[in-house]
Amino acid sequence: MNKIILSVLAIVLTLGAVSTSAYALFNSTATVSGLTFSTGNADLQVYASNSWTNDWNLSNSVFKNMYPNFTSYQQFQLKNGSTANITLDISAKLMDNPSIDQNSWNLLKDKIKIAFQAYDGSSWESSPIMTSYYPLSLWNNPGYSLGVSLLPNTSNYYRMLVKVDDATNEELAGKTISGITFQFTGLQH
Amino acid sequence: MLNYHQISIKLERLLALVLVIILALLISPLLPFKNIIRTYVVVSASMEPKINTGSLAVTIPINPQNLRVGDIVAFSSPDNSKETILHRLYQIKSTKPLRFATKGDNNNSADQWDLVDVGVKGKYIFSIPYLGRLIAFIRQPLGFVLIICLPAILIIFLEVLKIRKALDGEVQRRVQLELRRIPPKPIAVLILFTSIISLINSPKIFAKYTASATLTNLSFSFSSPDTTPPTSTINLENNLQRSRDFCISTSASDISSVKYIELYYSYNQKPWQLFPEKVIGNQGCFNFNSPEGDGLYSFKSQATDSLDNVELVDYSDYFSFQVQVDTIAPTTNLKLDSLSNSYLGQSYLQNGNFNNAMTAWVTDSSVGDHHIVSVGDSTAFLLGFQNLSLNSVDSLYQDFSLPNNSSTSLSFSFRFLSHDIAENDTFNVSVLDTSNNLIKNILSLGNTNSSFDYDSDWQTLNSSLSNLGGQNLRLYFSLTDLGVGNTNNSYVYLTNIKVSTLDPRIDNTSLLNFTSSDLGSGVGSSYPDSDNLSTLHYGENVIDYAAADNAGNNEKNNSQSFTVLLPLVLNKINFNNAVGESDSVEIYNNGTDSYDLSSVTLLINSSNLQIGLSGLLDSHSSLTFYLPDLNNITDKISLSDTYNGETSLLDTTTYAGNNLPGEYWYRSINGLGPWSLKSTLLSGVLTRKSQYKITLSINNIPDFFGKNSSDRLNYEITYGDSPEHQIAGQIFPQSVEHKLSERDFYLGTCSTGGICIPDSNIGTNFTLKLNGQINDQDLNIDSKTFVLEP
Repeated sequence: MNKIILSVLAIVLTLGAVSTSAYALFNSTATVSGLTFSTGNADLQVYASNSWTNDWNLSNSVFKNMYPNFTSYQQFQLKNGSTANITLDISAKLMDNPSIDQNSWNLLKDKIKIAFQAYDGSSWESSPIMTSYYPLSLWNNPGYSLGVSLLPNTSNYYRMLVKVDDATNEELAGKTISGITFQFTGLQH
Repeated sequence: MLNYHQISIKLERLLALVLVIILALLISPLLPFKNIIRTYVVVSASMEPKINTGSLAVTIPINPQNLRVGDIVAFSSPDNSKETILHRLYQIKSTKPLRFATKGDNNNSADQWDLVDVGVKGKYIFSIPYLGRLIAFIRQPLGFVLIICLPAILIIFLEVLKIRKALDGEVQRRVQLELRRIPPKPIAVLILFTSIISLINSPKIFAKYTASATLTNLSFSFSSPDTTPPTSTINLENNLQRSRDFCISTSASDISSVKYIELYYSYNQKPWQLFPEKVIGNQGCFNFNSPEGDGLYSFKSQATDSLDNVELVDYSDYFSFQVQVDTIAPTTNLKLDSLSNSYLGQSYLQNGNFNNAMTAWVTDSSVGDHHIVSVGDSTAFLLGFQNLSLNSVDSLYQDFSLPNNSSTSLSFSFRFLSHDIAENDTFNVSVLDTSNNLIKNILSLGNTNSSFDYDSDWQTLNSSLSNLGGQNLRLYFSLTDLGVGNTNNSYVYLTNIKVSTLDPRIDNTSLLNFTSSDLGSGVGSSYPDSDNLSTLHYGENVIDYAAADNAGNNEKNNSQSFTVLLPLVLNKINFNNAVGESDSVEIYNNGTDSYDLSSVTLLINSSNLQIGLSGLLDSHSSLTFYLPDLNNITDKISLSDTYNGETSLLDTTTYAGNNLPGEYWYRSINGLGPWSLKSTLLSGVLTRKSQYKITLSINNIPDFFGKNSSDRLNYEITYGDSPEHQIAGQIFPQSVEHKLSERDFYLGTCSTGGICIPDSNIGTNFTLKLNGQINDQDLNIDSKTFVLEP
């Protein structure tokens, strides 16, 4: 008799386990839904000197002779070169550089403002400016998301837009900060 | 030595123990003791090779204060709190508050975020490779069937078999033995399936990829203080503008940046004025609108940079950037000028030289110094303010009328003297209607000199008044003085004022003289050129003429018709077929002088009859030559003149009549128009008998008319307007007595019963048209219009 009871108990438990498993699998409110595995490497590249690389050294050659109301831009191209099938969300950040002249940095960090524009495929006039104009001091930490994503193995043009406040006083004349590095990070979407 | 059953029992218990341990591990996310151990399915590879994609990672809770660089931690993503990330601690960025930098082993850069302590979920302990992929497989329907459903069905099937066997009750003793072995099975089943459930519920964890690229060595440098003003320039595409609205391109440069560019203009070299529109930035276009109207504008641009340094401008230079604005087309006048035939224009103005004091002229101003003055041997009229500047207008006018369809021109001579600027004092000439409404502006002239002492010297202006024919007009001269300062006066001399039409009486030696004038940019081109004038020919010549100024304004085409008449013409040839009546040829002198006929010869070809003429034929007179009877002639008649041995054909025609009595070959007296055949033999007269009755009388019907039975005379009388009434019928000459035919006609419609309704709108004009047949040939007779009083 006990054997019968135990066997019936085993059947009930089995049915219960299967039902519960099915519930866990098909219930939309389950804590875990579809699993997709990514393998390979992530790689974000910038176009420089006729090739894709991870660093474009601008040799301190841009944004010279600035003045109040100065506006300009530096155009560049980013590419999602990941071997993994992943989309990268792009953010930008100004990297710390202890060797920067601190006096000039302190004078200029809130006067020079940077925003980023992403090319929309038709014209720069219609292309959206993805971030507000933040001063250099705010780009330093923590940086900002550019609000753009790069699909696997795709690239796009961007512009780093630079402007200087109208109210900038003459004490900035002749001042230079160089060795500035902007890091663009692609985080798996 | 263990027997088979003992070994089996031990294995089953060991299996149960392993499953319990696994269960403990795997169901931890669901169980109250999940704070002790957690499992995650690793779905990405940034922690490879340490933790492979598809592994099941096991973590334990930890106090973040105890974490060290190099530890692998599970934490909530700072970007998305719903995601859990498994990365290695890369750097402790601060301890108060506790912040970490994290990085995937397989990533080339650290994560962008800072990990704070409250985000830490646990510390990684170990991972079981491939177990995550098994879970992923179970989550798929096929995996669920293979891994869950099939074993469950097998177990249920086996248990059903056992229940059936137990019910058989055949092996009671074995029951006791089996009872000792049974317990592990339900437990194992329970553990197995519960574990699978737990595995299914293991959350995923990301070993998220990050990658970075950098722009390095950016620099920002500010220029030295900008104290240098910007420089700007103007680009005028055209120095002549025929529109008052045009674009003035400008550009500027500066070592910093150009804030805006302003435009200054000077009208006719008067003081510079600031144009209200600015160009923002370093280039653009001023939409200039010629605020002073037509005239000469000088321009200067002035740029201001972002530091408010203002460009210095040389305002003494009026000439570098100048534009003549001219929106008024030129006018062209045609004069007829000939050595032999001077121009005989009819003047429609009186006393244009003021020789008869103020006859025909009116001055409607009580101010001004207007009076008649002597200028050399002539007289002129002074209009305006010769002695004192007044804020007033002095004026002079004369009314006149122009005939319809006339080509009329105005000409006058003037000398304008001004001691003020053009915007204050102006001399204006215009054509008004008699109610003083403007019809046409002729001239508006001010001091265009930079000094206050302007003398235009004597000038003659010609202006076409074409298209004003048939109107009553007023030629109006005025001088406006603003009265700024006593000595800022202006006045003008006027004389030789003519409004005249061209006389079309010209010959082929007449010379046409075209004069075009433009007060703005000057005359650029005109037509026709002088070579075209040699194409004047006998008959009607239509001359089109107009001009364009240098700014491109085109004068509306003028058109004048001239008729060049033959000097001596044939106009009537009467080859009367009636026996005993003479044939004759009539010639006419179109010229303004007598024509010496001694060199003129009349040639009748078929008769080879050449008749030399003699005597003088007065201007605009005709002469009839009687010839021998030239019955039944169809011939060419020519008139030629021989001068210095050379014979030139004057006129010729070929007689095309029917050689009927009374016929003559005729055209208009001056030789214009086509030849046609007329008859003098028959003529009708209409007379009015009463309001509704007229009479047609045909007198002196010749005897030979009616000798043929088919001879007849057709009449057609037309009268009245809207509707036009007509009476038509025939007269047979055989029935006419005493060479007289008279017929009365009632002007109305009568019915058969005798009731007549008079026509309405009878009017006074009655046209009689006669034709007929004689000797089976058509007879052409003039039509005549009679004006019959009611």
